[in-house]
Amino acid sequence: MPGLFLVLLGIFVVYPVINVFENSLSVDGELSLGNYIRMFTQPSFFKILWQSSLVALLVAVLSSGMGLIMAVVVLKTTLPFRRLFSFATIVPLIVPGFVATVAYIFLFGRSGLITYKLLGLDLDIYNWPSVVIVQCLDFTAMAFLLIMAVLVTIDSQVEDAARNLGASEWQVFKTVTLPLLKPGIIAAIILVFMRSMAAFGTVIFLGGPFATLASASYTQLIGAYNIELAATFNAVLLLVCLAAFWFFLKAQSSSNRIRAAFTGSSRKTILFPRPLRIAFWSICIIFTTFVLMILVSVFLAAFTRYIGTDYTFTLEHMTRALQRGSSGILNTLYFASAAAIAVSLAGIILAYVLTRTDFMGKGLLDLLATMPFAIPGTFIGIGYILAFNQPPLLLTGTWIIVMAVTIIRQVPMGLRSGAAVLSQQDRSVEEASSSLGAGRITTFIRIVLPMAGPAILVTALYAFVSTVQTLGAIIFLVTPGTKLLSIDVFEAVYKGEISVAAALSVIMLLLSAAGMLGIYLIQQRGKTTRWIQKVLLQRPM
Amino acid sequence: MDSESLAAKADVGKGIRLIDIGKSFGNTRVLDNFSLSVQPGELCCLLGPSGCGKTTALKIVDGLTEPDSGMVLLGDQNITGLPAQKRNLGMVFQNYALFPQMDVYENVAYGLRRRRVPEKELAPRVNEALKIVRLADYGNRRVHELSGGQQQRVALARALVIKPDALLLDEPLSNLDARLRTDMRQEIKRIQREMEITTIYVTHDQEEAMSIADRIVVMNEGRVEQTGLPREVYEDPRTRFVADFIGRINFIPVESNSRSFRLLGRSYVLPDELFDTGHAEIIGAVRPERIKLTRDYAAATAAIVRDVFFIGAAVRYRLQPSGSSEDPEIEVEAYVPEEVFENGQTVGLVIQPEDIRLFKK
Repeated sequence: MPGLFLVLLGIFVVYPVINVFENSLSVDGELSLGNYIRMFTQPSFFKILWQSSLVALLVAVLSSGMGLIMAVVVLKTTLPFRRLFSFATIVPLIVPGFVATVAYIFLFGRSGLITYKLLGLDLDIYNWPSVVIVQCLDFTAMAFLLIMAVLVTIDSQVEDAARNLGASEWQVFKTVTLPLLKPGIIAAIILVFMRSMAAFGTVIFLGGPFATLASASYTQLIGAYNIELAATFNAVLLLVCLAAFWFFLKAQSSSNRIRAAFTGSSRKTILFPRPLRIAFWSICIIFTTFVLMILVSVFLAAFTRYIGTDYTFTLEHMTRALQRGSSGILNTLYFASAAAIAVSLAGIILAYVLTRTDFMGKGLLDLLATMPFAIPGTFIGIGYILAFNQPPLLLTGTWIIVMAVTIIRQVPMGLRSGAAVLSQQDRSVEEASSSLGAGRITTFIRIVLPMAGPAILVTALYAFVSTVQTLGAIIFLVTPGTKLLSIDVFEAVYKGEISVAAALSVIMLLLSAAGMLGIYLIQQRGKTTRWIQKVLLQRPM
Repeated sequence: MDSESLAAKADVGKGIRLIDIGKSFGNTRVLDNFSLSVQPGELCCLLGPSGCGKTTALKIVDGLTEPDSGMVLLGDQNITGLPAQKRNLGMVFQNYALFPQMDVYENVAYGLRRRRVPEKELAPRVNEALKIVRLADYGNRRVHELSGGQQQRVALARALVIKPDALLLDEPLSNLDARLRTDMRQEIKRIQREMEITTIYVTHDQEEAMSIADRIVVMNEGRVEQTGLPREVYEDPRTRFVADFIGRINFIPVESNSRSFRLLGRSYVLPDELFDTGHAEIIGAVRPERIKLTRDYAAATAAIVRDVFFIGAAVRYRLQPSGSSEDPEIEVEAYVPEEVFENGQTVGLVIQPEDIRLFKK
C-alpha cells in the first residue's frame, strides 16, 4: 500500500514539479538561467514579483486583523448580531473569490449599483486596491476560522487568573488572550499570504494593470504562448509559497507546546473599553454588510434583466445558463462526487498507513502527501500540461488529467482530516481487534472505517465543495469536453456576459451551499466540530 | 524560616464573611441564603459533592462571579460588586491556570507587574515566593516543562506573592496523584500556618478536608449542612447527609416508640431530645469502626460474615444480620483485631448506645 501511494504521488506530484523547473531552466530548449535572469532584471517582470508580494502581505495583515477582531467579538463579547457575524464568515467559503469579484464589479464598477447609481461616481476599479478589498473579503473568513480554532481552546480560567491578579479587562486581553492567540494569528498571516500570492481569478478580473505571478503566468501562456516563462513565474511563486509554508510548519510546531490545558470551563467574555467595543463592532458590521451585499447582488444579477439598469424579474439568464452550462454542471457533479469519494478514502487510508504502521520511506510519503498544499493552482496546472503531453503519459485533453489534478490537490486535506480523526480514536480498540485475531486490513475495514464514518463523510463533502470551486489549477487543462462550471463562469465573465455569469454562479453557489449544509447537519449530530475547522483550512489554493 | 519576612509583611488578619448569598444560573439555584464566616488566619474548608455550590461560593468571594443577592465582607469592608481586579485576593485554580506562554518567573511576577511594583523590588519578591514553595531555581523554566505538583507550587507562589488579604484554593489538589496529594496538603498547611493567612479551601475530598482544615463547612445543594471542627463533623454529624458524606457509615432501620427504639433486635433508650417523637420516621447510623465483633453471638446480635477484606490498617467485614430479613448488610471495620473471622462464620455484633446516631429519614 505505501508503495502504491509513493508511485502515484511520484507521478502526479513530483514529476510535474520537476517538469516545471526543467522548463523554467531552459530557453528554446537549451539549458539556461535566462528566464530567471529576465525575471529579476527586466523591470516589468521584477515589478510583478515585489508588487504581488507586497499586496499579499497587505492582504495577509488586513485579513488576519479583521479575522482576529471578528473572532474576538463573536466569542468574547456580548455585542449584538454575533450570530450574523459568524454566518457572514461562512459565506466566502461558499462564494469563490472570482464570483465575489463579479459581484464586486456589479456593485462598484463603472455602472455599479453603489458607486454609480447611488453615489454618482465614475470609478476605475480595475487596480490593486480592488484586488486587496475582494481578497480581504475572501481571506478574512479563513483567518477568522484559524484564529477561532485557537480562541476556543483558551481556558477562560487563565483569564480569570489574570483578573484575580489585578489585570484590567484590557490587560487581560493584551497580556493573556492575545499572546495565546499568537500561533493562530501567525498561521493566519502566513496562510493568507500564500493564498493571496497564488490568487488567480480575482487578479485576472480586477487587477487591471496589476498582475501577480499567478496571473502573469496565465497571460504568458495564453497570450504570449511562452510556456517557459510561464513556468518560471510559477517556479518563483512556488519557492515563495514553500518558504512561507516552511515558516508555517515551524510556527506550528513551536506553538503546540504552549497550549494551556483546557478543562472545558465555560467561556467568559472580556469587557473591552467602550471605544474599542464600538470600533470592533463597526468592523464586523462593515464586513458583514459587504459580504451580504455581494451575496445579494449575485442573485440580483442572475434574476433581473440587467443589473444596474433594468430590474425586471427574469429567468432568461438562468435558462441560458442551464442550456449553455448543462455539460459543465453535469461534469462538475461527476468530478466533484468522484473527487469527494477518492479524497476521503485516500485520506483515511493514507492517515492510517502513516500513523499506525511503520515502513521505509514513511517520512517521504508524508512529505509528498503534504506538499500539494503548498503548491499554487497555476503551478500544478502548468506542471500537468508539461508532464502529461507525451506518451507514455499522454493525458492532456482527457478527463483523467482534470480528475487527477483535483484529487491530488486535495490529498493533504484528506490526509489531515484522516489523521485528526484517527488521533481521536481510541487506539486500544484497534489493538483489541488485532488481539482477537483480526488482521490489519480487517481491523481497518471493520473497526477504523465505521468509527470514522461521519468524519469521512464530512471530508468528502469538503472535497466536493472545494472541487466545485476550483479554477486556477484546471484552467489550463480543460477542453470543451471536460469543462466544469467554474470554467463556464470564468469564460462568461471574460466575454462580458455578466448576467449569465451570475446565473452560472448561482448554480455554483447552490451546489457549494448544499455541500456545506450537509457538513453542518453532520456537525449538529456528531462531535466532529473540534477538528473540522482545521480540515477546512487545508483546502487547496 | 524561609517565609518569615513575607509573612511579616503580609496583611494578616482579615476575616471573610458571606451574608445571605443567593445565586442562580438560569433556572438552577446554586446558592440559597448561603452564609459563611471565616476568622482571620483560619483555614476553612468548603466541603461538598460536585454541584453543591462550593466553587461558586469561592468565585463570589474572589469577585469572578457576581451574587444575585447578599453581601461579601472582607474585614470590615463591603466588597460586594467590587471587580476581581480590585480585591487583592490570591486564588489558586483547579487546573492551576498558569499562563502557558510565560516562564515560571513571569507567571509569579504577573500580579506584581499589574500592581506596578518597581523592578528593583519585584525580583526579590518573586524569588522569595518561589523559595517558599521550594522552586527557587525554577524561575526560567517553561510552565509545560513542570510536573503537576510543581505547577501547583507555581500557582501557589503566584497567589501568595501579591500579599493577598486572603488565599482562595479551588480543589487545588484534584489533578495530582494520591501520594503527591498528601505531600502538597502538608505543604499548603505549612505555608498557611507560617503566613497566618486567612484561607478558604474548596474540596470534595472529605479526607483532604479533615486533615487540613481548622474548620469544615459541609455544603449540599447550595446550603450549609454543618459547620464545625473536623472531629465534630465526623463524630457528631447533624444531618443524615453529613453522616453519609463524611466517612463510611451504616444506616440501619429502627422501630421506635415514645421512649425507646429497637435496632438490630436490641432495645435502646431514646435520647432526651427525641422523647415523644416516636411516630417520626427515624433511622439509625453507626460508624463501621464503632461496631465490635465477638465470637459469642448468643449474647449479642447474630450475623453471618459474608465477605472479609484485608485493607492494611484494619480488617473490613460485610455481615448479614440473621434476625430480621429487613436489616441491611452491615459493614464493620476492626482495627487491631484480636481475632480475624472467616467467611460464613456466625459472629455477634455489639453496639454501644453512645455510638448510635439517629436521623430523620
